[in-house]
Amino acid sequence: MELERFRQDISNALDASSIVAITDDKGVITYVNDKFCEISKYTREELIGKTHRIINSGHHPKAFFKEMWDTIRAGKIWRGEVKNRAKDGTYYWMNTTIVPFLNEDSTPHHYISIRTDITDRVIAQTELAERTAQLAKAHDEAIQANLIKSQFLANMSHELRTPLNAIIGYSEMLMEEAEELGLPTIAEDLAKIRNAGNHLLALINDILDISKIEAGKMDVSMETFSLSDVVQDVVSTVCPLIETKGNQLTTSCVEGAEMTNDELKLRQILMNLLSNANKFTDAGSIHLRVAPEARDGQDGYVFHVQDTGIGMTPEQMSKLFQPFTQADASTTRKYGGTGLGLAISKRFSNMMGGDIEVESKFGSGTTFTCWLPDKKR
Amino acid sequence: MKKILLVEDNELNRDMLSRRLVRKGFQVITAADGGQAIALAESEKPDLILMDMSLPVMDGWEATRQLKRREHLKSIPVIALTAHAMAGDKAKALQAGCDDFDTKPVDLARLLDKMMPFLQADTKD
Repeated sequence: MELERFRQDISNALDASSIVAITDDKGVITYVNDKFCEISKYTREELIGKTHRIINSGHHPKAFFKEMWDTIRAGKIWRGEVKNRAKDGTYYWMNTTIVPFLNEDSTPHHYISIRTDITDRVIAQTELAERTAQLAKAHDEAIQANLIKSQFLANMSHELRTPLNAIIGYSEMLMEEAEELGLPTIAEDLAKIRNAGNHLLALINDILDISKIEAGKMDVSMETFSLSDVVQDVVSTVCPLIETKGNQLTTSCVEGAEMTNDELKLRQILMNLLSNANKFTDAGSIHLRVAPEARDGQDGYVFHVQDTGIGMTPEQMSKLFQPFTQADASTTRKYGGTGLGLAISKRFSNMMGGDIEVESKFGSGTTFTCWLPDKKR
Repeated sequence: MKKILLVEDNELNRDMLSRRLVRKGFQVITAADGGQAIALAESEKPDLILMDMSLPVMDGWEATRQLKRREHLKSIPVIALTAHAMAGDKAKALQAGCDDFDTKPVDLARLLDKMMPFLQADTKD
């Protein structure tokens, strides 16, 4: 009696927790619990005497059920996730365990299936997989679109430069002629055309550079060069600009130092940093200091560009190196520029194995520090 | 008067640069592609060649290589001019045999600075 009650308790526990069905050795249903009826939406009377084909969803291939039958006929336990169809045509997913009840000779005489409802989980998984696939597709498309944009910009910038060269060249030529002919007002106007042309060219060159970087077409070319020559060249190029703003430029550079890295890119970085310092400084001073500095055991040089200009807030600094972004939109209106110079300089210095950092205090100047490795050692 | 061969396929750039060089006191002859450039170098014996690199038919790199292979032409200095202000282009031009390199758009003062050493060293005429 004790044993019988124990069996009943187990049976009650099973019925309370799971969806249970029992079939004979042919798969004909001999017992279903309430939960089975509830989820399949069939009555007990409709189920008893039928096989499980009544709830077959058609989702699984024949081989799936063959493998199941082969397993349980051999007296082994089968586990699987099965999609079923309820009487009203809706689908549900079952985590299914089928246990054979065996004869003395180990052949099954009945099978019990114990199921739990995993419909929500399967739907969630399916949705997640779909969402992941959509995201991956969107991600690929975004990358592709960005690449196309960069290639377009690179091609376009090249196309734009050819007629621009003619505009700059002819206005310069006519300017010389006007000066020689003693026509200063015409020479001045021609100078304005040339200057505007040069400005436009600088903007196009920046766009070309950033799009080349983004399209992965910017290469680093190693050369050994004299640091003081580079500094001297850059300083003599920016000097006229610096004088127009009433600024003072001082430099200190190690004498006779040679460096191996990408010379053109270094020139461009220094040009950008110095013209940037000049842009945001009025009647102040700008100091360029070049000094040897090893980082992480790698020899290199550090280039400090310090100004006494308007400085930046931490918020402004955080956006500084992003392309197409200046400290804020009003900066673009007031100070001009593409907002690409610092982004290009940062990417260049990273490509060259170094980095650029900035320190600034709103209202009291900014210091850019660019460190670049010397690749010859 | 020094004779300059200007090789440039863009008509505007060719016209502009040749006129500016004439105004600086040079005699200027022009070619629009690499093949013409070699033919003119043979017939005109210029003192210096300004060579655009991106040219139709035969590009500037190939034209320079061919010029530098000819015993009687290889002493003519060639300055490469290219719109591609790219690192690596300088090396590529020098490898082809160019004697110097300048980027377009032409900065006339800068270009003249690069031309002068070759023209002063030349004492043939």
